[in-house]
Amino acid sequence: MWRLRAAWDVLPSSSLLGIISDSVVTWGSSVHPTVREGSADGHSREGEVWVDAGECIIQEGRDCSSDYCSGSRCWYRKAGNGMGQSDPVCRSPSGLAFQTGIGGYSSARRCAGTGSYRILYKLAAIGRPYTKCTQVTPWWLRGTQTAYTSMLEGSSYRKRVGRMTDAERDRRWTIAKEHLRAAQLCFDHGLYSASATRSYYAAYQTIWVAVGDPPLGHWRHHGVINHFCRGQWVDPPVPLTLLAPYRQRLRDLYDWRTDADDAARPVSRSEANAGLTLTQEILTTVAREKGLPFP
Amino acid sequence: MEATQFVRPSHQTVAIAAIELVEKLHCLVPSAVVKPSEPYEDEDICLTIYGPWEGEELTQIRHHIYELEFEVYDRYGVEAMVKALPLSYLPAPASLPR
Repeated sequence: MWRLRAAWDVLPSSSLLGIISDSVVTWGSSVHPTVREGSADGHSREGEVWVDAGECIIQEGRDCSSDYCSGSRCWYRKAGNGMGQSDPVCRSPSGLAFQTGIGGYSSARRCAGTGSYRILYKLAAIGRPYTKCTQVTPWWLRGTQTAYTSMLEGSSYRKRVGRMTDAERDRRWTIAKEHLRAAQLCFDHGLYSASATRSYYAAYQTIWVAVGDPPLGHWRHHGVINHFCRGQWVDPPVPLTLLAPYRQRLRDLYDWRTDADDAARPVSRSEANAGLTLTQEILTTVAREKGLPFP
Repeated sequence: MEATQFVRPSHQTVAIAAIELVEKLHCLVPSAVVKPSEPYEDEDICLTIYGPWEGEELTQIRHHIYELEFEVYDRYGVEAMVKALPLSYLPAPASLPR
């Protein structure tokens, strides 16, 4: 964490452009982002970095039939809170969260005299994190910080974070399936606490397969879950809302795991069943996305 | 407040997040008992909260608490684990030395 923050502080903002340009390809059409540091049209506070992604036509009130709807010059997402709730109608820009391909959130202001808006991505809040309320590091921005570090080391974010040898992937995938099978067997024999524990580790190994090796050699449980639920490991990245509901369900499963292993609280049949269902869903999703054999 | 070499900023962040979290827990369930605990895995903050809840009520309170954890993670990048357990799991107080 400290190392990431240090890297974040020393890099010139112009170095961000490579990452942004690469990512914006997945986001929209011919935008030419530039990086601003400091004040960005009144949107930023001290130490924040914003990316000016250019003008974008917003069609307010347009009905959305899918997660994304296409404007004439860019893509934009339905209004939502980022945690799985979305609105069927695109609302005013202040209510929109824009898909960047790397995470991050955005702001828009109406261009004077035109129907277009200028989109500004808040890439990060850096600087003096502990003296004011400026240390804002949302979980969907953490990958961006990782990208920053990765760039220092000469590899791209995707190559770096998603890197995993085939042998390791196969090993983890095999173990994940074994844990799942054990969870099912335990469940069938009424061993619900043991089933929940196995389900959790099946999910954990599967998630590791999905997101690849950690950038700094160690995945923490909450961190890897959040990274998975952000959906950037899918190629192309999926909307932030798509996997977000898994966040709470995985947290539930982690609680049942610690209930069983640490607090000695018996896990109920319904909880074990929910854990099993969730794990099967996750294995199915990852198998589909990664082209792995399952069941 | 500037960080010194003895108090790293990351430690301050965890401390600030922990205080915020405990305050919010107190507001959410004022009658509960909140105790610090050893990390289950490698969490930055680990707390156990005991209250008069069982079954579905325990599930509900856990879901409320998850939201607080997510908030702390999203805001500070700090991993918090708050374990909600029934009051009956509250350990007996250690006996006083004679």
